[in-house]
Amino acid sequence: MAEFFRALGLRLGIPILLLVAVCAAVSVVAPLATTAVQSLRVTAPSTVADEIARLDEELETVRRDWEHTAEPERRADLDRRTRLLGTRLQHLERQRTEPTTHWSLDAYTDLLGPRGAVLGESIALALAVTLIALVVGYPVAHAAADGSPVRARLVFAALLVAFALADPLRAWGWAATVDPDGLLARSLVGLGLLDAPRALALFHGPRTALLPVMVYAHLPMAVLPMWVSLRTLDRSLVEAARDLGASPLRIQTRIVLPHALPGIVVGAIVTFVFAVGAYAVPSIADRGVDGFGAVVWRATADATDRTSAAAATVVLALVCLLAVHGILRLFGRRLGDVVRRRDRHA
Amino acid sequence: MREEGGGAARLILNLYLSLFILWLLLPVVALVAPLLLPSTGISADATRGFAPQGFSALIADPDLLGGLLASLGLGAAVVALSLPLGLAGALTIHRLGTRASRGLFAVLVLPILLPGLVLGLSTSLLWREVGVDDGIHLAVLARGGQTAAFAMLLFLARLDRLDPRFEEAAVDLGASPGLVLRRIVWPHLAPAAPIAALVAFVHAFGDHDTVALAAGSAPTLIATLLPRLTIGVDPAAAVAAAIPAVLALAAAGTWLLVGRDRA
Repeated sequence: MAEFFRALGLRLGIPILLLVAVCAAVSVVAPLATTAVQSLRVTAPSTVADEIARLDEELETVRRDWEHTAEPERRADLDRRTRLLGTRLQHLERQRTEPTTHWSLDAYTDLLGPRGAVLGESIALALAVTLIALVVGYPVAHAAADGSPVRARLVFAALLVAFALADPLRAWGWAATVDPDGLLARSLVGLGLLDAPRALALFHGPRTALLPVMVYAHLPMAVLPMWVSLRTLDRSLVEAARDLGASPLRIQTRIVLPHALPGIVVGAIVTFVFAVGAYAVPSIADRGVDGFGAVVWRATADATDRTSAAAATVVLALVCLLAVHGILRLFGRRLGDVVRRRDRHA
Repeated sequence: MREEGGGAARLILNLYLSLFILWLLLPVVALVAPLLLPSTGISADATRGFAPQGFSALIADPDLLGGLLASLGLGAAVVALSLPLGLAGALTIHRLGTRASRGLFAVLVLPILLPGLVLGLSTSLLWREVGVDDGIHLAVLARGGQTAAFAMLLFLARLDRLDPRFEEAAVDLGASPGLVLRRIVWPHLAPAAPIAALVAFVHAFGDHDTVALAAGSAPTLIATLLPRLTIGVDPAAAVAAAIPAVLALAAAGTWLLVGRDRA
């Protein structure tokens, strides 16, 4: 703290520190705290309110009947009912109380049933997506960071285009490409390589479509951090290892891979987090498959029930934080070390 | 670095990379195609082209046009909000002692460790509690917090590479903290700013999950497009979906031009 004010002075230091504190409070701490609190707070509408609403409705029907009838006898009967309902309503209005709230874990236990199974499936899918994206992307990150400059630039440019396109549209582009009526099928048929576009239906069927779309949509998040790490690899180390007779495999496992590790960790974290909580991407690929993102999404659609939406969100956040912790533990790294990469200027 | 392995290994790698690039770019081409070619792309009608009809249909479509304008505004607002915040965060983390900064750092990077849905819904819930309704302004806040974290990491990466001796020398020569910040720290950070701005804009413009939950019924381009993309022949939607793809191509081109070896 002392160093902070020495470097920035009070006139600059105080506003900057305030700005950061307010930003952290308003954009991170307060929203998450509100969500956690709301997930535990159940609002029970008072039964009297329900009864009043029901009687109001009945009164309205009686009024409409009265307008639609001209018989004096029927009208007198309806008048009597109106008076009765009126007194009963007056009586109830006096008992009317505000809706009561109480604390409960109900929203969480509700998540244990079928929606809990969906969460399990989403986690499994996100793990598969992360693993595939890292494996598929590693040679690409390597080529974009190293090797012939022309090739590196080409690969990097393609990665950038993909990264600059937001993931729902990337997913949609992929779906449009592999559509039996889409670009790829038309091109292949046009080139005479494919008899019927239906052969691509494999990528378009229920479930089979989900994994490729998810991998495709989240690939740049996995590759770019690895690229950032690999870019700083000291080539003379590789040269030296080769001169000393190390095999390409040994160079990879002893020099290149350890150097890429911070990038692999960041890539794994970001890819998993994006994949496990995605709503738009799976919904584009979705042909009858449901992710936990969709569970959260649908819960929010019911504006009167904030509790279950909040609970689903808290569960999703906890899953992500546990995953981040797990990935960091697995590779024996600290968050600050992998995201900040201070080793670079040493 | 020389190529590892022999010619066969290189051939396989190059083949793999070519396929990969094709795999990465084909969907972008599929999105842009309706603008250029008459009969390819998103469930196009084979008998007539999309582009002219698509553009007039887009202009005549108040939903899509409104969404497009909302998304452009959202992108600009997120850039304006997240860059200064990211910069302030980076300066603070860089200057606080390791122990003090660790907790703050964890809080500040939290938005990128959580899915967009979590941040979008939490922001909406917080402000509803205070009596502020959902809308684009909340979408700017939720997405801005996320992008600020990203901008902070970009700025931090450069700050960590700044040789502290420059600052020390300037202070020894009697420079005020403001002058050091302006003349030494900022010029070192500035190259990261256009890239942070570009990423902030493009991702706010095209985001769905964070933005849609905080924006409520306020239409953004993606929220308007998403249900319509699945319907089929919709020239206006096809053209609207091509706009972000063109934007992505332009952004990547700009990055390659201005951002070479930066950030």
